[in-house]
Amino acid sequence: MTADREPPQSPVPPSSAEPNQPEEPNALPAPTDPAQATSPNDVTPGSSGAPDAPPNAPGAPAPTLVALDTRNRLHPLSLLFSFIDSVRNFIIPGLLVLIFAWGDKYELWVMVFFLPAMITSILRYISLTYEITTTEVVIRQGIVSRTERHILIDRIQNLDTVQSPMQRMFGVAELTIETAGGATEAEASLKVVSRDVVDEIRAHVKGRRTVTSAADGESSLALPSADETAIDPAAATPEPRDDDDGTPAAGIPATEAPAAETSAALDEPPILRMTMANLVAYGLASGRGLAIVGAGMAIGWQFGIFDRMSERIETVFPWIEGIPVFWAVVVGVPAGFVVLALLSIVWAFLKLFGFELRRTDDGLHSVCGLLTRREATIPNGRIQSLSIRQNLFHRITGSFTMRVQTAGGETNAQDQLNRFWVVPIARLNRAPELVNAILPDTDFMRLVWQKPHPRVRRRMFFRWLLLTAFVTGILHLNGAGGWTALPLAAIPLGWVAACLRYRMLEHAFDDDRLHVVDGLLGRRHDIVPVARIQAIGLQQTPIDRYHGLSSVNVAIAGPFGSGARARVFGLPLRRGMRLYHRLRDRTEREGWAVSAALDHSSAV
Amino acid sequence: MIQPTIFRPPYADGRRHRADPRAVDADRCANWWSSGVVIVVLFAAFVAILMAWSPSLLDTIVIGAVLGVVAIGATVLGYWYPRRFYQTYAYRLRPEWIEVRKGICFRRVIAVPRARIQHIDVARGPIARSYGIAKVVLHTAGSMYSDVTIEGLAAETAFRIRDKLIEERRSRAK
Repeated sequence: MTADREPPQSPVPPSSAEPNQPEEPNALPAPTDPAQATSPNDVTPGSSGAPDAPPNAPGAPAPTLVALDTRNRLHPLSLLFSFIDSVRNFIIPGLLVLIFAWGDKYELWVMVFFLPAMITSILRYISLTYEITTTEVVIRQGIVSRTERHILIDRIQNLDTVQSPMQRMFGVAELTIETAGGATEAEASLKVVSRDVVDEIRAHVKGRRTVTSAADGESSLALPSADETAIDPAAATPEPRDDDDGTPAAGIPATEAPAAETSAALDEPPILRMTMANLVAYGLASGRGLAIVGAGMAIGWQFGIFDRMSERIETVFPWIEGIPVFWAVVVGVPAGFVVLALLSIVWAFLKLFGFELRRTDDGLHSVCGLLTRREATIPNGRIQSLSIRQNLFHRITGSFTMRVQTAGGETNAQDQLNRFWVVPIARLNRAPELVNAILPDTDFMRLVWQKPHPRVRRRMFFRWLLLTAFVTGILHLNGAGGWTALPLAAIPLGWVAACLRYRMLEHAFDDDRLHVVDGLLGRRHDIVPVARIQAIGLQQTPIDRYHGLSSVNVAIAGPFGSGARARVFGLPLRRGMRLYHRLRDRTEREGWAVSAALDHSSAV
Repeated sequence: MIQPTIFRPPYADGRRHRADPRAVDADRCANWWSSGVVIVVLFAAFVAILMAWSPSLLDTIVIGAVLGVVAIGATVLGYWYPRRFYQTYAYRLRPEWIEVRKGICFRRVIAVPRARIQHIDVARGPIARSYGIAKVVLHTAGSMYSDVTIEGLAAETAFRIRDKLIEERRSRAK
């Protein structure tokens, strides 16, 4: 996204401006770049659709790759990739079957799947078109039942690209468009389009969105002007959101900076870069090797490979039966751990090699991946909360990982990796700096930490008692005999856990951010900006009332049941009420300026 | 108890309001209707059992007694619960937030900043309508407290609060 392709204040000839978009210039200006003009991969210029589309005025710069208001096909290579995609689920089991079940008549059964996959990929290529207008992305799909999906550009939460090695070879990428909403899947996925088209769509969307987000009063999260904010946080940050009439305060100068400045922002060193040591540490901390082995075992079990394999191993290495069990365990178990660790590290390298997190004028931008490159952007102002997490490994080695909650739907686990884990791993002493890079003006020095009442241990223990009583009852009913007493042995463990958790629990509220720390062996530190609070609740369950305690819940935007919230519990009722009132009245002072914290709040 | 008048509903007076007294009756009526239907069905089944299998006298008495207890319990509960509920219930509207407090066993106070309201519903069933009662449901984007209900409002008040909130939204969204 070079600056020359998207001049923010390009003078637009009046003829090209859409009648219904008076304030917004046609944001897909032409790069007069001959090199790109010679690769018109995706253009099927208006042959099938949009006869009503206004042709670009002759005075206006003509887009090179994606013409506005025309229906475009995907890249022809998407035939290949969608075929691979639909077949991929069968490839590994298929190969396993072919290798280990040779001569069992399974291999023909596998082949049956390839033909429908081929047909569907062809049909999909023929039927799917996308169209970019000044306000929308329109995706039409389907042959028998046609669907037409209009995505307002203002509502787009994330534009992510994924490039597998093969796609990188061909210079194409998969573009995923996501809007805020509870959906578990992305709104639209263009698989695949050429890399240049991706850049152009990104630039277009970015150009449209900068203005709207600034008008929403999203100034607090806009790009800080590089130097001063970090040095002198108290003096250099005037209250930017004191505007009652919605006049954008500090956002406009930052977001509509001259082109030279925005490109300078892009050239800044990244906020975070993963070194080799980081990657190794990430792999070890993730413990992903165990998961890989587990998945392999599960697949193996499914196909009954183990029996065959052990037979073959014994035929190839007959001496294996001669090894005494003691030595097998003494050597085998550590060796197993080493293998697990190595697998985890390999996994980390594959996923996160070359990880870079940058702040651009667009938002937070991350790139990673050794073979498959993934790029993700979290637009400015879409970060709902931030969570610093440490598992036992992190706590021992003094490191942490950081996760971001956005209002968009949860996507599959692979995308989560670089979307939400903005900091895969870093040393603990970098935490304040990294938090401030993402949520500016988070002051850790001024925080006054508060602990819940010690009685909360009793409350947690009480719950544990109820649980053990329940389990004991079930065991007794099932006639477990002597085993009935087993859960009773776990009772002291419950008290230890309650004490450990009590040591971890604390919270702080400095009128701008609510910090909540929770954890047992691991530690989780959530930071919620006041401007992102959707609702606040003070609650007392009957058990709470028995102990004279209460809890304060803070709801953050997110899909229902996604756990997007912060919870402070174990406060005596009076303190709970005080915290609740402070939070409530702070959102009051926040006033109307942050009213459109979410873009879709202006929907109706 | 402060009664919202038709002409100046409590858009943002910041005072704590109780439910309209008719709400208790409306809820009792609704409870009795719903439990009544269930009890009638159960008694019908009871009679059908008597006709079909003609169980022993003891069984008949036991089943009948259980049914009777259930019926009386449901009736008493349906009478008692709304009164108790509206004793603990209150709502407050301020220029910046709306607060609802409720719960007999599980007590909670929920504050919704007005700027965070996504959309607003007025909900009223047939019984509530006949009593002139309605409730306003405030939807937020949150993953919890995604719908907060202001209950027991006079219908007129409910519609006016809704209109006011929508008007506010519009002026904010511009």
